[in-house]
Order: sequence, then structure tokens, then C-alpha cells
Amino acid sequence: MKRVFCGLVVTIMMTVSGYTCETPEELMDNYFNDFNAQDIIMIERNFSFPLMVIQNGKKTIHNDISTFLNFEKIKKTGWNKSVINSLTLPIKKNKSAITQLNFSRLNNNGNVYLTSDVNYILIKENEHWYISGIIIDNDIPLGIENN
Amino acid sequence: MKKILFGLVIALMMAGSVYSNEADIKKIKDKHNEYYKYLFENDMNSLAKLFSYPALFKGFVSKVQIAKNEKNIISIYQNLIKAAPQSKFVEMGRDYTEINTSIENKSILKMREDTYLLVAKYTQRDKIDDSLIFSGRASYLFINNNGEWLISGVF
Repeated sequence: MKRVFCGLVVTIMMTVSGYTCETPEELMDNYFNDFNAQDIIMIERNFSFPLMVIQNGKKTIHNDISTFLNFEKIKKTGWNKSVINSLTLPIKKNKSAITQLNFSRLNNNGNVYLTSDVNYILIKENEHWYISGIIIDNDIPLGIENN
Repeated sequence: MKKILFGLVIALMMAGSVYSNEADIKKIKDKHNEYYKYLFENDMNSLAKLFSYPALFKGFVSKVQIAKNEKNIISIYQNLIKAAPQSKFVEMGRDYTEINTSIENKSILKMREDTYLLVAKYTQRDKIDDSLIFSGRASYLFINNNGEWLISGVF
């Protein structure tokens, strides 16, 4: 019993410590992988809350991912996965950065049905990068009520 | 004739777009000048009116802070100033008025039609011996609110 418990603790520690995003590029890559896996817990680790989402000038604050993303509704738009087409880092400071990303959404047939730009406001906490703000067009469905 | 007219319309549209960008950039820079003026005069009531809410703040603090309204600005700026390098200068018995802050340059990044990022590179020096206290960059997120450019984030 002791061994099982010890193994569990070690596994949890490895899982937690295994997640490090030392660069903004690495964070974006991880986020898109977690997004495509549709795993809310995995997605959440990419963020520092409160999160500010700005869509066509309208701002909303989110304290967890459930008010920001709803995969059931996103999938109803035909979504199967998202891919990064290009990523630039116009601003990078010691504790914050801005990424400009062009991405596409693909349907079940692997066809691109939506391409758009998105900006992420990133912050660095304890040597790791996290998403703290998203600036995205209103016509990109996130599956939330005001989207 | 049709081609000339078409070309003229396109040229006018492009010129209009450039003018619009330049006019917006000027308004944003002017607003940022106001921001610095109010900040150094410690006029928090006027400073708070330059923001649209909610607004996001990072600065030198470890965690992101959100200002929900004008009232929040005062406490958030107290925390930001406390965490800034110049606070060590004050802790040593000196005064903020003995610090000379100069903006070295401002760059503007257009993120989308209604969203710009202004990055100000600034330096703080001791007025007495001109020694360097801090040199760094601050970013200001500007969003157009019904024709007026207001700050939505400082980081």
C-alpha cells in the first residue's frame, strides 16, 4: 500500500514538474496540442488566471477555462483540429510577451474551413510562460455564450 | 477611362487607410503622453479616465491584476509602484522627485483595426549623480472604444 502511494506521489510530481514552457513558442505549441486533445485540464495549465479575452473590442474576464471554451459547441461548427500556420513574436520582454499567430481550423475530412489571426498576451511566472490575454475576432467560435 | 477611375478610387482608398493609421497612431501617442503626465503628477483620478474597464496589469508584480473600475486603479498602481525598481531608491531614504525618468522611444504595433500596442522604452536616473536606476520597456494595450482610444492593459 505504501509503495502504491509512493508511486502515485512520484507520478503526480513528475506530471506537474514535467510541464514547463520556457519559451513563448513552446507554450503556443503545447497549447495547440492540448487544445486538439480537447483535454480541459491540460489546456488550463497553459493559462494564468484571470484571463482577459478581447473580441472586437469587447472584453471578458475568465477565472477558469469552462467559461471561455466549450468543445461540444466548437465541434458542432465542424471542427476537428487546429493548426498553426505562422507564429511571430513582435514583443518579448523579461516578464511579458505578445505573440501573433495565424491558424486554421480543419474539419473531419482534413479540409481547412476557417483561417484567422489571433494575438496572445503572455506573462512569465516562476520562469514559465502562460497565456494571460487573447485578442481574437468575434467570428471565431469558442463555444461560449457571448461568442 | 474606366480603368483610370478605378485606379483613382483604389489609390484614394489606400491613402485614406494610411491616413487613418497615422491619425490613430498620433491619438494613441498623445493619450500615452497624458498617461505619463498624470502618473508623474500622481493624479490618479485623471489617470483612471484613460482606461477602459476591465483592464489588465502586470508590470513588476508577480501576478496579473485586473482593474474592474476607476476605483481599482489607485490600489493597483500602489502595488505596481511598490514592486517597481525605483521603490528601492525610496527605501534608501531618497524621494521620487529625485528620479529623472525619460522616454527614449515609443514604438507602435498594430494588432488589428481596433487594437494597438504601444511600447515605451524608458530610463530612470538619479538626478544627483545621473546614475542609472532602471532601464526597461513598458507595453500599453490600446483599444478603440466608440472612436476613443483607451488603455486596456499595461504590462
